[in-house]
Amino acid sequence: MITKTIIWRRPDGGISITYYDDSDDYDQIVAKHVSGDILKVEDGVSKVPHSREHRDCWDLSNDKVEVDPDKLQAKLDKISQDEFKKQAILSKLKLSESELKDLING
Amino acid sequence: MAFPSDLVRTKNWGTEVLTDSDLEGQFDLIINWVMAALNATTGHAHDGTSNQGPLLSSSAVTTTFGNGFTTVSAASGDYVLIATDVSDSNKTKKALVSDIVTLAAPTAAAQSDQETATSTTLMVTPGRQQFHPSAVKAWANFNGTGTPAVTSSYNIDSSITDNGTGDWTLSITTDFSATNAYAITGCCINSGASTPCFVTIKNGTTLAAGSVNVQVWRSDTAALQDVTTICVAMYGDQP
Repeated sequence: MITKTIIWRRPDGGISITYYDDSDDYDQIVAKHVSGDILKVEDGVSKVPHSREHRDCWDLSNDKVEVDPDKLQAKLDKISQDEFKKQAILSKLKLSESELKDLING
Repeated sequence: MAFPSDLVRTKNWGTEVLTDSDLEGQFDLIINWVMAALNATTGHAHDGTSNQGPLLSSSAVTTTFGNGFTTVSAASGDYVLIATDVSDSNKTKKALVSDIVTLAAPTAAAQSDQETATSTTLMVTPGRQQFHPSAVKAWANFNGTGTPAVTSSYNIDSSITDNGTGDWTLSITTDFSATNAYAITGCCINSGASTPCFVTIKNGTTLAAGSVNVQVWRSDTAALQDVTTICVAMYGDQP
């Protein structure tokens, strides 16, 4: 039975959420699960964004877990840059993406 | 049981005539007394006293266990009667107590016996069976969608950490003896999806004695993925 939540930041900057029962030994839970800075401990199951599409962009903001707009923008920028690089390579090869896939798949 | 006084009859053979009813009455009393002595529950006691039959065994104590064994305590010079069943034509057999082979009391395997895993005579008990090297020390079946939760487990805490898509930490109730000193197997099911998934332990981590970081990946794109059922089982040494 989950009755408590620890929200903590990993060394890589991501947010981890540990769910546990308040009958558990808190120190032991922390020792076994938490390897970063504890941001918040709260009663009950913490409310998080319904969609996990941008789970890697979650952060604690306004005392609740939500998609961090800066992280999301950085992620979208990275996706755009990767797409731009991919299109540039395809352009140099004078191939469409589907033609490249066909070539790779034989 | 005492012989009834009404069976002791004095007859004046010189003057008294013995009638049929006199004989019938006497026979009835005798038969009643014999039948009472042979009664299955209230008959004679076989304690060696007057009218109670010879002493069979005054010290025998019988104990029946649920596992099908019956023990009989008796003096070494006594005979023990063994009642058999219909498979042996209901023949009763006897054995002299001093001739019966002595069985050693069964000994439960200690944790060290289980870990050595060589004895073929010690008993394995439920509280120590898991110490055998081949035994699973911990296992879990958990749901990785939404708020993750352990569905069923052995020696795994109910606490669980959501580290991101397809990335969870489980903790072990009774830790392993050391870091990186155990093995894990795992599988996953992505309910309703056609693409299979696979389970790994997170790259760059060590197998901590008290926790494990599990990840699940799509088999086609090798992207981390939340799935409905993740199963892991762990083998190794516990203190």
